[in-house]
Amino acid sequence: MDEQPLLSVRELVKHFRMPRRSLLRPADVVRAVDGVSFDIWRGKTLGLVGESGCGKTTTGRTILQLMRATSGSVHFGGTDLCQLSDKELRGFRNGMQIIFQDPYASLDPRMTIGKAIAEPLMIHKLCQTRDEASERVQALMERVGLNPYFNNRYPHEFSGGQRQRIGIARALAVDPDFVVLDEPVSSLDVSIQAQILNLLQDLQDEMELTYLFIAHDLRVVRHISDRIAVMYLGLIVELAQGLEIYDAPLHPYTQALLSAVPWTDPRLARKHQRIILEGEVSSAVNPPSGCRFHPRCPIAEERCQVESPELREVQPGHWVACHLA
Amino acid sequence: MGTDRGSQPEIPLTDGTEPDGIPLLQIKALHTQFETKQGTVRAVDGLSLDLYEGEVLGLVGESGCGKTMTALSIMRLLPGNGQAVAGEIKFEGKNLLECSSEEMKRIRGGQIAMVFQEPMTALTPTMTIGRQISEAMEIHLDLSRDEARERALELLEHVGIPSPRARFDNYIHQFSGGMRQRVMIAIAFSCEPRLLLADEPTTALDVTVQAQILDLIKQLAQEAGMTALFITHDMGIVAGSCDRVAVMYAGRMVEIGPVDDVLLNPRHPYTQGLLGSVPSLDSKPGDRLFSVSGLPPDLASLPTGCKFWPRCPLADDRCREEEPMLEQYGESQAACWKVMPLRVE
Repeated sequence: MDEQPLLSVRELVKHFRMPRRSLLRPADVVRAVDGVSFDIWRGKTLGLVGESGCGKTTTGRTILQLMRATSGSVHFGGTDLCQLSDKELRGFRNGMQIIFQDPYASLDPRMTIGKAIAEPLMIHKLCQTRDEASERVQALMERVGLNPYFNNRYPHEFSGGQRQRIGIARALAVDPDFVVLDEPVSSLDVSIQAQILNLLQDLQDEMELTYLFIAHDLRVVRHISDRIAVMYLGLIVELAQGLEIYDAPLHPYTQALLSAVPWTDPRLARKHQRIILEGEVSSAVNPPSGCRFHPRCPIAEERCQVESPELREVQPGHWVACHLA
Repeated sequence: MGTDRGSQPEIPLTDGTEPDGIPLLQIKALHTQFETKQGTVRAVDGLSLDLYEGEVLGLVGESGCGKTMTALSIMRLLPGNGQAVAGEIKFEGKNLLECSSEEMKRIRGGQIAMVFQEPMTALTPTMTIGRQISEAMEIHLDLSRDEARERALELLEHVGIPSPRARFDNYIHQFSGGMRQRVMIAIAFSCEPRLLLADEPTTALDVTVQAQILDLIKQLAQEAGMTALFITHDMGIVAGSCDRVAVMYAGRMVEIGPVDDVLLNPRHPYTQGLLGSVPSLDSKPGDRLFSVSGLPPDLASLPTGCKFWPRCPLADDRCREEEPMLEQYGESQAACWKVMPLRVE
């Protein structure tokens, strides 16, 4: 891990201003991402987990500059993307791609899938002629397990798993280095999930892809990630090598998340002592003082209500933001 | 059988074998079909299943395998073009398929309740949640409006809605996903049903909330001695919440047995594939997942022989021609010509 990371995120902040509800009060601000830092090395996968609304999707999109950060930096291959103008960014766009959860919503229903996959090739001028593009589309479709014969069909003619393959083919058309996978398998049946996960792993090996894998299913994240970051209310609370997080989670939130994972081994399911968290995730508009997890934390002390814990390295490569860990 | 489960007495697992006595619900050779432009879709195709008093049975399979249609057939809530064309569903000795719609109205929500995957579409947006809970009790339990209100408040508190009095007059859009599901559970349990049908009750929820909801259903069912049919595609939920599990494929049952036996020693290649699709704690990250290749079959034109053969790694000529019936293997039953244990202990 001595070499430079491909992606380096530092103190990334993204706030959303809500519409003003009263003239007398300032507008509410949703602190979706509130100071997130991590690195991803080439060819590796960082899993980003957390519950709905913790800011994982916003983190992914802000890194890709699909939304501009409020502050912080995103170094991609040495360049700070946050400092670039929209025009300058265009040159970097084909290096970074995203695969969405709902492939149906991200495909144009009136465009054949052959055209949809060829579109990025034409936009980024990676193919000079139509023939060249269609050849490339054919190769891509075969690679992701779609029959190239179907390139004249429309998205609605495909099943969820096949649509996700189309989304993958589109993202990989421009030969990216880095791909954000935003819940890529959560809307799929388990058998199809496994097929897509296998495909993503094969593609990573072949093309030396770097992944940011955003998901809420901790079984899937464990399977695909080299390192895992756990997010809670806009902050990373724990970051470590994948297996280390599962074997010895240090943050009480990580512990609770892991205890809720429905493993398929019935012996494990019975043995497991579930840590039931009280209540639900607090609002990102007015996050709790001190440690943001303290209202739900089973071991919180007085200090946790006042002092916000720093993310610190407690063991080599294992970072945690908790006063008591 | 007598497996030792002493370590965790709070989970009401039976010993997993078919309990003695008369089943509370008996489904016999149920055929549910849909007439579509593409032809007759056989959503449920000859399913037989017994549900015994007090057990929690998991019904698993991929989308479109007929799980939900089985539940909707029981409730007689099939969409317009669907019909249970053959078979019987006996509940407390009465064939539900022959009940009048008046009788069904009394049973539905009264003795049999259902929890749906999407509370937002199952609940009325224009009625306060308090009203929706008390309405069911006024109809089925013949309570006065005030009595029903009192009980509804108790129920809301019981399912873990904070400050129920304040929330009573809220509408469903004012609740979060987990809270909505709690409201639906409160409605389902309000009339003390004998049978609960839960259709993917936690699929749309976050893991921690999912755990809360599963524990809640389990606890309430245990308190009331209720029988439950848990429909899910997630073997993990089966492992933690069910006594027995039935695996469905193409509208029929391919394997059924006690949870421990089926999950630790799956016989049918489809069950093996479903289990292998979910990363486990034993698997090494980066390993390829053992999965089921291909897609579920078109229910309007099913293959001959075993319906699973086009996706089965073991299929041979016999599988393509002759359909296997359920046979007993150990404590479980499986319908496969090629039964061979994957993981023998």
